[in-house]
Amino acid sequence: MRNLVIEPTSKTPKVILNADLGIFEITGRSIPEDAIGFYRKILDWIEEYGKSPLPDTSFKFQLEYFNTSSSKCLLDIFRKLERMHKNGHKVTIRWHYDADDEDMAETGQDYQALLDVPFELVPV
Amino acid sequence: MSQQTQYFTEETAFLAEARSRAEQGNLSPQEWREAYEAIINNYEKLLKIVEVLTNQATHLENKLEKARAQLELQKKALSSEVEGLEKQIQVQQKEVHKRAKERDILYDRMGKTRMMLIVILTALIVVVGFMMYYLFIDTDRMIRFVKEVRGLE
Repeated sequence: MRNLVIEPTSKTPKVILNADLGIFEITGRSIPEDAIGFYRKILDWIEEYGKSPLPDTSFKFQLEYFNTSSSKCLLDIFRKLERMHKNGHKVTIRWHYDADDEDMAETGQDYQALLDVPFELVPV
Repeated sequence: MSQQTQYFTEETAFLAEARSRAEQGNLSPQEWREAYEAIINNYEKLLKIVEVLTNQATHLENKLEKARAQLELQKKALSSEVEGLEKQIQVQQKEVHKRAKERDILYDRMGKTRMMLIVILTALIVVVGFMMYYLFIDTDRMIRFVKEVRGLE
């Protein structure tokens, strides 16, 4: 399937979804005005990828800041990954955050508590 | 579709379906119970999502507030630095004015000294000129003058 790469802007994160290399990353800042518009193609890509995923999928999230609408869109991504996990595929979500950033750590913990998928908190 | 409902497409679809079934009304007690359970489950799920989103909004506001406070501190530090620099500039400007004044005074003195030297030199040339004249051209008058001074004549 075709890889999805989105270069970062001042309001949107860098996205690398490369099934050939097994790289799945969303990094940076996410404060788009139209979060749904931005995340739509990512959700569609994951939906498509979920049909025949790699034996082991490790999804990295490293966000320094995001708005509430992005928060809901991230949850939608997590739900899709959770569904893949429930369908018997090996999926891990890695939530990277600045070790000094308590708020981002707690945000990760909130997601972790809500989801039924391996969710690792990785301080950096 | 409004922006809000776009964020909750699954939940909105479920709500529409539940409403449609309730409006039909021809459900057996068993179907009513199942539908009610589905509503409870979805409501619980939605409540958890709302709770998480609310918590996250609070965390993100905290983060924003911390950033704002940090910016405020940096702004204060910056304005204090600017104030210090302005004072330094004022001191340097005063120093420059002082030096300029001293230079003007020096130039003035130099001008006066130059003028004085020219006058002295001119007087000296005149005196030497006279002496040369009497010594080499009008020597007799010089001799008479010296004799007069010494009282020999």
